[in-house]
Amino acid sequence: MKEGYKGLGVLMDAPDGPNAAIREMLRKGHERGACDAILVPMKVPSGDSYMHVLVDDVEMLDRAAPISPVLTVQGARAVTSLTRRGDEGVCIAAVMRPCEAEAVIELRKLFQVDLEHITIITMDSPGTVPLQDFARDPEEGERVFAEALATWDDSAMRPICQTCEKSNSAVGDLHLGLRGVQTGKVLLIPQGEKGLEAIAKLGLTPDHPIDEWKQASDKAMARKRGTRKANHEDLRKRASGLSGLLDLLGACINCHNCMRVCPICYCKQCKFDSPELRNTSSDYLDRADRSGSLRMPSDMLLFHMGRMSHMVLSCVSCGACEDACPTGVPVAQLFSLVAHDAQERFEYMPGRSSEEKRPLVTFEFEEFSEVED
Amino acid sequence: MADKKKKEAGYEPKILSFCCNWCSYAGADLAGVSRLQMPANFRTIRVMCSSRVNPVYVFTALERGADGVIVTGCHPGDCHYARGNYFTRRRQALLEKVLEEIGFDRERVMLRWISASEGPEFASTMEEFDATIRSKGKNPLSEEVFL
Repeated sequence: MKEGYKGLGVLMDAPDGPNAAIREMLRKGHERGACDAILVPMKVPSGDSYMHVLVDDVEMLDRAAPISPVLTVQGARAVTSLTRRGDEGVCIAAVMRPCEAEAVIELRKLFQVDLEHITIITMDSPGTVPLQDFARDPEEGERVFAEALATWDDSAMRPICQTCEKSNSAVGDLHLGLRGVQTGKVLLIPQGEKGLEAIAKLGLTPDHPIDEWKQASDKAMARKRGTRKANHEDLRKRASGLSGLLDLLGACINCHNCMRVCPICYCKQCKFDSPELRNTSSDYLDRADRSGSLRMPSDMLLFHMGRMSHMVLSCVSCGACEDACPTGVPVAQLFSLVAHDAQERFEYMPGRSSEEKRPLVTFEFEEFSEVED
Repeated sequence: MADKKKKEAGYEPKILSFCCNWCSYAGADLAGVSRLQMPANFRTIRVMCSSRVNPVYVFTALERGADGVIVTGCHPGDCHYARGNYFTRRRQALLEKVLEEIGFDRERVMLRWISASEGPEFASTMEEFDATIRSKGKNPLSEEVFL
């Protein structure tokens, strides 16, 4: 976890809860010229979902839900769509979860976003409600989420959130510490020059030690690491051997939704959607001849393995893939398991720093001698 | 029926070898012109550099029933493109990790450095890899239906 600026933050009043406090801060920031527009989640009019919206008129901020109960379009995708044509000098404050911000940083390394004038605001995340549960019963979803936000009990949140040890990571230029901060307050933690600049424009001075928040965070994250380990061990057992893996992925209907919603899968043309994988009937017949029969359409396992090898080192375990899966394949948990071990092998942590190079575009002269067998 | 019997009778492993244009392919060529004995069950795909081999190529080969895949390139420091094989090594490390995670026998893939002058090494590598694959038997993926 990155340290806040000299270990100091700003203790802000939040009598009406963290959402209202963030809205107030955004309004003030806009007023004082810290940003020209704000990218923030907002409830859709039908009330059954939330989307990132670009707010130009601050009056609209009343409807914003900075800490939304669900993760719909991954925030990094929203930022990409905003800055795809490059930076135009418009200052935008983007409010998102730590996992979304980590994906933004990965996309920056992949030249898919321009962060020159974007200030990212993150907050301690209590997790999010499974998307399909929320769509089925939004009212219940809101209730469950409000409870999780108040108590930090994540047992009703998505499985991937329950095992997320980075849900309190101060990734953004400004991070809002909520955990372990006294009731009715939030702790605003600035990071780097952008964070300090933003805080100066807000007319605030970092003077409150962040230790209490950090201790509470570290403790909670240690607990989550324990949950993750247990979850990974269980998953490894279920996915052990090829038949276990094929059972786990058995319900996959080749819709490729997981790829389409993945913030890291930015390619315009995915190899697995391309004509390259279209074979002739006799090719398939040959393969069917070998195994007796062949699932059609084929290449389900190849798609998952291939996508894994392409993006797993940058996987931030945001869980968008699992939310998007219509058949309930625990794809995010599987990818998170592989991601964890693969990233460990390369001593790489996606979203840690935008200066850090992605593992496959760099090398050391002496390394990985075990693969040269 | 006749086909099935034939299948069971003589198991010949199918091995795919990726050879880089500048070193390993020339090494293979040297092994050939030197008339060195080696198994005839590998098919070679020549690539300009070993780092050209995307892990997906290896997965595709395995999914489509190849029993083993070997990637060969110039020795570190000797890459025609100066640094390509260092990237290959990283790709291989990732590839093997992913295979290991999904419970696939990662010894079915191999990375070797073979220079243009190492004809005998090319032949012995193929012998060795063929023996490894033979001892492992058929690629389990070639018998799966729900791929």
